[in-house]
Amino acid sequence: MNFRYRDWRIIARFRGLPGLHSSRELRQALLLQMTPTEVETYHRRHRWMIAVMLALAVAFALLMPMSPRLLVAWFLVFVLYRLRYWSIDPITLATKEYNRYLEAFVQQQGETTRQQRIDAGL
Amino acid sequence: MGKRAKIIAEIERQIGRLEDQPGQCLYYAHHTATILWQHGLPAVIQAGSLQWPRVRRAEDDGQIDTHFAYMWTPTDPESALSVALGNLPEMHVWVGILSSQEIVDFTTRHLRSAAEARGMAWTAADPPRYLWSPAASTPDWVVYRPDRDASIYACTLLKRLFDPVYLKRGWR
Repeated sequence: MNFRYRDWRIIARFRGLPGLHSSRELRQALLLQMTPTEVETYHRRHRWMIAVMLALAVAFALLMPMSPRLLVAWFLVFVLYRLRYWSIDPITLATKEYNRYLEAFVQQQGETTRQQRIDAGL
Repeated sequence: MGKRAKIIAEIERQIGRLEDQPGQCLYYAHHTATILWQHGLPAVIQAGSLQWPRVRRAEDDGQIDTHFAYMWTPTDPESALSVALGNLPEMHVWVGILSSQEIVDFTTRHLRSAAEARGMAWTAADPPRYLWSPAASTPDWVVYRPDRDASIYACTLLKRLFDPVYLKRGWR
């Protein structure tokens, strides 16, 4: 159970959200399932993240004006943004919850099987 | 007539065919979601708990039940009995619109009569005929709390009863 990535459709089913068409819709639906405080925290952290990344992008543009390395720097800023976004992404959080659920389920199944084998004298 | 007014009128027409009494939230949500989808608004079924204030804030003495509520409590004996009788457990079902992050609930008109039928006095302002508001800013003291298991339960029932378009993937 070490697969950290799950298809968004699995997460949608897990959260009782059939009928969605994309991970974007799933993200919106998961936001609807959060409490107002959680939504506010999400938006606040997201705004901060964008502000910091934009500041970094502008700083690089000032440090390396018209340099080909600027594109690389901007790309790295974007990658950094994506990595940071994972920490607040509703889909990532729901995936973690799903993995915990699955792990507990598998453990319980294993325990039941073990007990059944003991009871059967195997 | 604006788009929202048109949708509301259409939903009112549909739910007008249902019995005018509490306890029909699953059907109200079904008609609401269907009409929203027909108008191109992607909607999801949400189910869980609803708490609506039945007294004014000034009357809260820290002792009385301030809210009338449908709480998702599947392990509660009353909920189990209700399921055994072929009804829903204690829960509430409403609709969420994805793009605008709003919730829509046309059952609010029945909250006062439902509370009074259970002997609870209602001194707060009457609930509106319907609620269509941003999920993050519902009216003061009003709490809608979706639950994963409740939503799965409601969707499973709706799928079995109506096989509705809003639960089909690839429909649009």
